[in-house]
Amino acid sequence: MKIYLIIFLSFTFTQTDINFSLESKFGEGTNITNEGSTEKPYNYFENILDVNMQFSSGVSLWSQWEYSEPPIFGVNKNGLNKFYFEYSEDVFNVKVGDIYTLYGRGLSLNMVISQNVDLDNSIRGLEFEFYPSDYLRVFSLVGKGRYDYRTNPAQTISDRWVNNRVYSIGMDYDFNQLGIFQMYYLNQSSEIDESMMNLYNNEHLDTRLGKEFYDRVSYEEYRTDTLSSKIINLNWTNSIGLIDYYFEYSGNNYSKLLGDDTDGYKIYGSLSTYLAGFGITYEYKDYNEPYFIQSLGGAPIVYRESTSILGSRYNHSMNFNDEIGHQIEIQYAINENLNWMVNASQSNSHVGKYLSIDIDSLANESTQNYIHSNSFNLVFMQGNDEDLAFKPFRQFYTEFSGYTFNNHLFFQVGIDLLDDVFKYHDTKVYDYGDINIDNYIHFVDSSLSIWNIEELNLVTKNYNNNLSNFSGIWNDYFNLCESLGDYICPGQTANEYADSTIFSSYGISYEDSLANLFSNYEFNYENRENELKVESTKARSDSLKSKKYEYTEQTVVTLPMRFSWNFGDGSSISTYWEHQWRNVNASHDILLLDGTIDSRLTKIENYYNQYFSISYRHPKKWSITLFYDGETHDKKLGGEIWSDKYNDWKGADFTFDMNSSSQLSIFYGSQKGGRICANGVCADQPGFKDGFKLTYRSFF
Amino acid sequence: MKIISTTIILLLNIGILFSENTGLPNVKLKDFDKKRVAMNTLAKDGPILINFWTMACEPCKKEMKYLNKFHNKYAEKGFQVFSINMDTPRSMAKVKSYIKSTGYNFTVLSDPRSESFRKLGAKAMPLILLVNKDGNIYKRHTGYNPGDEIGLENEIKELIIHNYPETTFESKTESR
Repeated sequence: MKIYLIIFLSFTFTQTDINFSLESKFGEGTNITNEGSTEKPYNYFENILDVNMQFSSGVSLWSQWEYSEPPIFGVNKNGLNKFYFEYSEDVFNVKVGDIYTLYGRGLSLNMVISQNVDLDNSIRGLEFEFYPSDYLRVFSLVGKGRYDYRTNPAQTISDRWVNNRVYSIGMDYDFNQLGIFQMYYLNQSSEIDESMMNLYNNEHLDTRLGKEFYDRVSYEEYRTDTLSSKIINLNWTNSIGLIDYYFEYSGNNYSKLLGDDTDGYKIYGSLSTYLAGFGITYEYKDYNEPYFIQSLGGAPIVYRESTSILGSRYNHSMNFNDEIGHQIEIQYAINENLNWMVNASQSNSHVGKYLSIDIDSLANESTQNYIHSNSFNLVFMQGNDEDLAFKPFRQFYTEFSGYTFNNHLFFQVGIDLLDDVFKYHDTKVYDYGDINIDNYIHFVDSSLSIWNIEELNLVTKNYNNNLSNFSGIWNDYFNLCESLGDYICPGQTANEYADSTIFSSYGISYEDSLANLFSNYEFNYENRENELKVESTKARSDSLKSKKYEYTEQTVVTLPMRFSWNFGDGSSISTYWEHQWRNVNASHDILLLDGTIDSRLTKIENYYNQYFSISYRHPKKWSITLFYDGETHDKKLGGEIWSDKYNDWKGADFTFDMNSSSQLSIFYGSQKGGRICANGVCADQPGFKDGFKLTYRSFF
Repeated sequence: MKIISTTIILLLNIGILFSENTGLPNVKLKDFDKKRVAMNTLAKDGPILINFWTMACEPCKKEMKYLNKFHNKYAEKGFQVFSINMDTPRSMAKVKSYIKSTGYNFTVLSDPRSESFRKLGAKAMPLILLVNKDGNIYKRHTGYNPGDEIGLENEIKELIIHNYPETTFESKTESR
């Protein structure tokens, strides 16, 4: 090994071009949740050093060193994190080390690194490209790697991993007028540890993979499994006049978790044109690999990831294995200083299911597919059963941006409307067979009415018993005095004796005792009456349920606005001003046979968010920014408000460009945190309270 | 892993000893016609400015309006702007129609793997490189705030004079 090393070093080093870049982030404060409740101290110290070397021999080296204890996301790292050597000639290119590459539009292979969301699905191995002619490229890849990922974006540490072994071979050819055609074969084997089987089992209400796994595999069968995937990918891109188009198909034969092989596919297409000043792009996706555990792919998401501060917190969460959708975006320069953009996207899952339950035999459940008759309903989200079952998502965004006041004022004003059913458990549909519904409803209501009367009668009966018992005691004393006279109650009448004995025994007069008994009776009666209302509603729902829903839908309206005033001397003032209204409906509605709805367990949350920042940029290359982020919310359960709060987060940031290669930024205050997304992968940035952050970037 | 770490530390030290001015990396990029272009040959016809951007980077897009002006204004001095787009498959389909609709006429190259960005040790966008005609990086800037274009235009003039000392500029800086 040492000999190879020496040979390698002597081969490479005659002259070297080198650059370093360092990014250091330090933060100390208190970790807070989105609710604003204090949890624990929060700090991080993350240092990432990139070293790039270009040798005269043609070899180049990229390496990344990380010293983070702890990082913002993920686990502590100390030392060499990633690297690769690359050698390029006119006719070939070889890369050895950690491979980040993209085939086509990434339907099958898109290996990226993103510190922001702690994403790294690279493999360590070898990538080779060969260019026999200007028109032909042959490429190949081999290697292995571990991909860590999260069940939930709110987790700071990954809880799932896959050990991948990959090889691929392919070619692309430029047919000139007919465009560029690419095809490749990708073979992947992925080892999944036994410890993760429960996580997939837990998904059974949310994903097709989880549901299928839950139904098919029992707990006793759990073991470490190696999944295989064999992919044939074909893609084609071309330009005809003003039209550019792209099409990609990925056919996948893959094994299910602890199961046999099945087939799936991904299709993506895009069409873009520039007509009469309008730049128009249309994209289509159809991803259908429901039982595939994706780790190397990163297909186009085909919806707009918001760039506004508030809008980006509630992006659609993409399902890369089961989604079909469209997106259209139009850009138009109305004049040199005014641009208009509009974007609309829609998607849904392939299959919408419901659970049919025979009311006579509750064990007799069967999962049925909704047959979707009208695609336009999904776009307009009518809210009926079948629409919900397909987990529809739609988003509309439009903005105007440009310059005015002799280019001194920049403005950008938009509106973002988003509707997303992001959680759906099969709707339960109850089948009453041949039962006469009207008679049945009458029967249930009559039974409940009788039951109510009986229950209240019990309270009255209980009161009467107590009254009778207590009166009996008084009567006993009365009778005793009357029959034994002065021997037992000298100088007292029987009434007086009974009263005084009751008082001395119980500490309360007979009249007061009777009054208390009656008062308790009234209280118990009313209490029971209220209990019966709740119990009857529940019993009526249980008896008359026609459909039972369980889904979560959010509707978000965001108004992002940005303004900058350029003083013309190198200084400027910029503001962000955003408003957002968000409604989350976690429905547990039960539709009854008589058409009424039981919403006792449905949670509705309404949020109003405001974000404001103002920033001054000085010609001497420093800037100062003040932030305000506020949230008001009310949360209702069954129509009753149980939480009603206001929170705000304020902070200030000072950034200084020390020179053209170094920048220092200091933040003090609180930050709300929130979701950030890259390539369809999201992670929740932790909230931060009364702390400071320091970021230093340098290139040398 | 220890061997790899040791090797790289060794390379690093040797590299520093022999280091020279930083040049552009040898990365193959694609233009809108899908033709391959080597990044380290972009400056062969004169000094250039390279900016790195994505569709989601709003400051990048603000800055590009000025870059297009500089590209047109100083073309006759042998200066050009190259724009490297790093949109991933998430949004790369929209890039060409965006550029066409804005009417920018500098050359746009595509680097969806961010390889050039990575090899330059870059961490944040927008990133601007001012590059001499010999391919070495003259200056670099990260971030954009309105007003920065004034300083940038002065640096472009410096770059042109640095590469063509005989160049003179008649009009004063007027970037807006």
